[in-house]
Amino acid sequence: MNNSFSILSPRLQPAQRSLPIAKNYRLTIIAALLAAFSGAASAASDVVISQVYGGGGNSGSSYRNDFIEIFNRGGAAVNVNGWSVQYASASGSSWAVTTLPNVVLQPGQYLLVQEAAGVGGTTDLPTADRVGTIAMSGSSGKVVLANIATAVSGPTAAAVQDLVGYGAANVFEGTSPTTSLSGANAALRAADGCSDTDQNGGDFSASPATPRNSASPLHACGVATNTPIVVTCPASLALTSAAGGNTALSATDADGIVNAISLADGTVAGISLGSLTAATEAGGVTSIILNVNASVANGSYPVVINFGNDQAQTASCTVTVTIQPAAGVTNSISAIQGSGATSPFVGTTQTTEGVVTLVVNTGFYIQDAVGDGNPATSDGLYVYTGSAANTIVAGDMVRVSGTVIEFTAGNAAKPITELGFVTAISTIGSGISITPTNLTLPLAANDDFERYEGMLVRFTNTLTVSQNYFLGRYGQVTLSSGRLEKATNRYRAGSPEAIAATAANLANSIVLDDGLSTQNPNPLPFIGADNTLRAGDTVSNLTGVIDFGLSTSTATGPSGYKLQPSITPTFSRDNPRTSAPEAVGGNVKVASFNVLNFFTTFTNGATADGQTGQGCTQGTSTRASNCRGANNITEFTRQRDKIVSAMKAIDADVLGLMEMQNNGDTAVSNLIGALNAELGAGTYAFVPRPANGTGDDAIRVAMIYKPGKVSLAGGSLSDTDAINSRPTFAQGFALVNGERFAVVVNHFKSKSSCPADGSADDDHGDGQGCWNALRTLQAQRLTNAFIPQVQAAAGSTDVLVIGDLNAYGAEDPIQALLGVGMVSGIERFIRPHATPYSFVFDGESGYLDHALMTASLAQKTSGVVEWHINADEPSVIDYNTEFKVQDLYTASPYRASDHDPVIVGLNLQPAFSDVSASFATFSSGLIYNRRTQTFNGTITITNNSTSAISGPFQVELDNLTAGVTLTNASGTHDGASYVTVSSASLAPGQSISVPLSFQNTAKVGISYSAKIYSGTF
Amino acid sequence: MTHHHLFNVLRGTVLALAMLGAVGQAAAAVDAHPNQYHVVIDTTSLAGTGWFDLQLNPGLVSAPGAIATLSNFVGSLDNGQGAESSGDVAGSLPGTVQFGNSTAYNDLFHAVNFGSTFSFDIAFSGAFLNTTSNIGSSFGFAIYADDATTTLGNADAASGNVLQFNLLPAAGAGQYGYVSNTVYDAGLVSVSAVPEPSEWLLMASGIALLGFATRRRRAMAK
Repeated sequence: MNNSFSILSPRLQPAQRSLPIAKNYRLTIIAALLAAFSGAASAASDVVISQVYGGGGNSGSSYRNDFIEIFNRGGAAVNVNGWSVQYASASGSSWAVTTLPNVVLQPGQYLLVQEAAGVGGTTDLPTADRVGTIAMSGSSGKVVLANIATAVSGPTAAAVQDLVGYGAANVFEGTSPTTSLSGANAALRAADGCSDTDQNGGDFSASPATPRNSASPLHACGVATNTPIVVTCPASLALTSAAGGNTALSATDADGIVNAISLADGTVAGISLGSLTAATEAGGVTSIILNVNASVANGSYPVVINFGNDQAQTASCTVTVTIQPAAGVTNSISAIQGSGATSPFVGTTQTTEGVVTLVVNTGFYIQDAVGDGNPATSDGLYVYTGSAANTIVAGDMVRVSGTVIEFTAGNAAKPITELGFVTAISTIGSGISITPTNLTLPLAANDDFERYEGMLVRFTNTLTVSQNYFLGRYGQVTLSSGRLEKATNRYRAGSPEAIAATAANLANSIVLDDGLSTQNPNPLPFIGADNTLRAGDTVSNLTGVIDFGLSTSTATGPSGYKLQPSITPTFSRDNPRTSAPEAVGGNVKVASFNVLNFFTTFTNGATADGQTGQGCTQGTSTRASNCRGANNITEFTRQRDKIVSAMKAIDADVLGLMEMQNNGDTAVSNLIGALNAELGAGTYAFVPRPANGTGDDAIRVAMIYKPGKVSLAGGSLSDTDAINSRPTFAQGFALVNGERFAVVVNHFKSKSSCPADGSADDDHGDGQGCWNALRTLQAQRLTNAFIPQVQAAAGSTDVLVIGDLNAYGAEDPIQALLGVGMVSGIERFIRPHATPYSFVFDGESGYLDHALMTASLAQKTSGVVEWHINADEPSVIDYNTEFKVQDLYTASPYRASDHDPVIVGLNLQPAFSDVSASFATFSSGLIYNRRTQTFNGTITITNNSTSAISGPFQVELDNLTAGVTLTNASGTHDGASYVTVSSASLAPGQSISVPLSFQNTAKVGISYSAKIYSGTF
Repeated sequence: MTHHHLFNVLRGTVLALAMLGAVGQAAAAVDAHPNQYHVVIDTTSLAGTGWFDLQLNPGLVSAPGAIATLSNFVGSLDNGQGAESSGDVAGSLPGTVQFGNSTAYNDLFHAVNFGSTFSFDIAFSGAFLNTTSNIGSSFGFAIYADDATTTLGNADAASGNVLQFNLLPAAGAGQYGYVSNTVYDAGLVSVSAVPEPSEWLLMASGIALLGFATRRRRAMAK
């Protein structure tokens, strides 16, 4: 809105313009009323003191001189000849005078009066309009502007045009003086000097001194800029002879209403305007239709259209109407498309005819109104017009002449047939609708889309979002019938099942585009509730035109069939977010989380600790360009807040982290600091770096844990063997109940940065990607060498292998681990009820993030879950600030990273525990059997606790009298004989009698103390 | 013998009282923890000679004190082979024999002539009745063949006993110890409780109460 009028504006008609009165205008009226009736303020003047600075020359000040700045906030020029500025101390009544020069102060003009200098300060004032010598207080004082050249009798004398009391001044306008000033701050009148409510406290604020002089740009107060009419007209309207036609024209004015549109005199008969649809408020659009009657003869007619508004402004535009005989149709769309992958007419000039189905920003699609009935040929065609404006709208019947082109976007896998170098577009009808062809995914094969290229189609089945990675950058979403699982996530590479699944996925996906070739579309298309569109969300009745092209801005990037929607798709949130991962049970929770480059050194060389000029180390080089994470402290804070939010919800006792900056403990301790700031000091600690170090990659793996839940058992270990891309990192842990386990954190070689040297690490096209052989060696190294070391160091065979193994569930490295008896927790706990995935790539889901247990630990694993906070979310909501025309960031866990975290529950209970305290025992008398020569009786154990106690039970007789042996002992434990009771459990109050048989040759008095254990020795 | 007869008469009375449904306090007290028993051993199914093995042993040395007093022994002792006793045993059959539990093995092993009925009374007393402990004692009765090794009857495999009394100390403060018994071979052994003198008094008052109740009922019927 530019409706900001001065009270002095001659064009202001308050009665007419009651609605859009700007706030500052109202304030002016109020101020005028106050000034008129209060009598307390100085005489009303359009010339005011706009800035007062007494700190000049003070120690630490920037400017060497004090100054007083005055300003004409009125609408008329004012001659200040014979005027003066005067100063008195805060409570003084002696006025020092500096007269003003003989100048006429124009509306919006400033005038700078320099006053005394001090010894401090480094900067001279801009050229002053007058130089005085008044030494003003830097903090408190009074300044008046008077229309006399001699000292005023007081601050409210009639000659005073304006008064400013600052700091502790005893006189001021209104209810308070301005705040105290300083060496840095002057008192500045708000709105660049325009604000004047006769309230020094409210009109002025203390801000860094910014002296302005008479040469400074004028700043007229409250004067509206009368914006011009903006018209929208096509440059041309090409019509076919005797067909007639029309096009839409419109105009708008930001501060007015366009209320008249007319044709210039002399416009040829038969060309007319429809009825005007006028805007209803300033800034609205006024539109009209330009009609061309069929009777208009062939020719080219420059038609001038004039526009007028309610502010007596005018504008005009010219539409060149061309009426020409339609070129004869040389070939139908179907014929131009042909039945093959490319057109039989490529390179030739053709004229064809069709109904416009969709207009996009670089052209439009046409489709034969009837079709040729041949399912092998497409009935649609893309007409490329580039940036040339045209009047085409969907439903028009057009005849187009141009050259048949097979256009290949970048290195896209195949071209699309289009009509380019368009020489003529004639509209020969309008309002025609094409019935979309029904399609159902999956097609029999991906190539089957070819026959629908350029055609309007409708998908009959509900489609699911498989990938949303490019939603923000390119307005694209990959859709399929159901989620697509990466073939090697489930099947062995190269198996018939894997090959079939790969082909099925190809035939079952289409990229939904936004019809724009622009990047970073604004507003974002397809985004839904919570400012997201999650993979797994669905859309029904998707309708649009089949296109083929690049999926990204990279010429060498992915390409495929796309759908340009003709009806805005509406998505259903079928895969809702969850606020926390599902429970995993057990008594220890371990998680694996690839945090996507948590770097405390930024790409701008700054660090989270405030240093600058730093770098990240990779190998032997240290430079900022090695940094992979946040670009600056702003991005870092956003990144960390999301990660901390996710970690809080995961609430793991041990967290294995991938992609932490490899800068000693700096990055990991920064994360610990942020977590503990939220959760309480000491909640988390990081596992110390191993003696062998963390390698020389820019990133490392790390581990954090809750010291209140687990303690470190043995030192941390790393495997710096050259085969590893990042040294594997391991640590043993102990629970309060004495149980131990070890966690091994891995980050295998990624699938990217392919070699092409003919080695085993090349991409062999089997779905496993590059470096599969190296990853397999890394897996073998883990099981053959490192895990045994870890087991020895931790004193436990219970080892949990977690991390980003950069291999999907059924790929070779995972098989290598499973082959030596490790158990996949994800296959065991997730596969039975859901497709496991932690990552989405090329529209296919799979899990790169694993949780594998040694056989002994597998028995104690209570659950494994993936928390889908990242793989399903679009990257456009992440912490990055680049490419964000709409910033949908929140500090929530969603899209904290690109990988989903994996959470493992372990139930680590001792094999046996002393439950004597929960039991009462009763030892019966012992009867000697002459045949067996043993003493026989029973010991009865009774559960006297309030809960069931699970068996089996071991009744152990400690300190049994020397020379006496328990002949029915099941074994000995800690040197004492015990008898096993195999009962599954004993309920509260339940008893069981256990026979005891002693050999006591000397028949000595027997004594022992009984202990009861639950479990097995 | 007069005693015995009297017991049987009274016993019949007790049973009659119970059958009448007059399960008053007196009757309950009799049945609760009788610490005196009459034991009858019918050896008519056995032939020749063998051995009675009677022992009172603690579970652990820390068991509260217990005494078993055997009296009124009736039956055919084989005095030719005689008897052996070990540990805390005083007296000899057919006279009163008193067993203590002060050592691990307190045993009377006496030769008998099978083929007829034996009986004796056995009474239990001692500190265990009012001492809280989780250590009991057991009084065992086993019958061995002439070889003094082979157990006879359907004996408990572990102990060899055909009859065992379990002496259970008080389970807690304010509670009392008691005796239970297990008959492993009912064809050979039968056990019946003998009311103690104090219980006799209780039972007598129970009869009196019964009479009173009968009178009351008649009075009300008028």
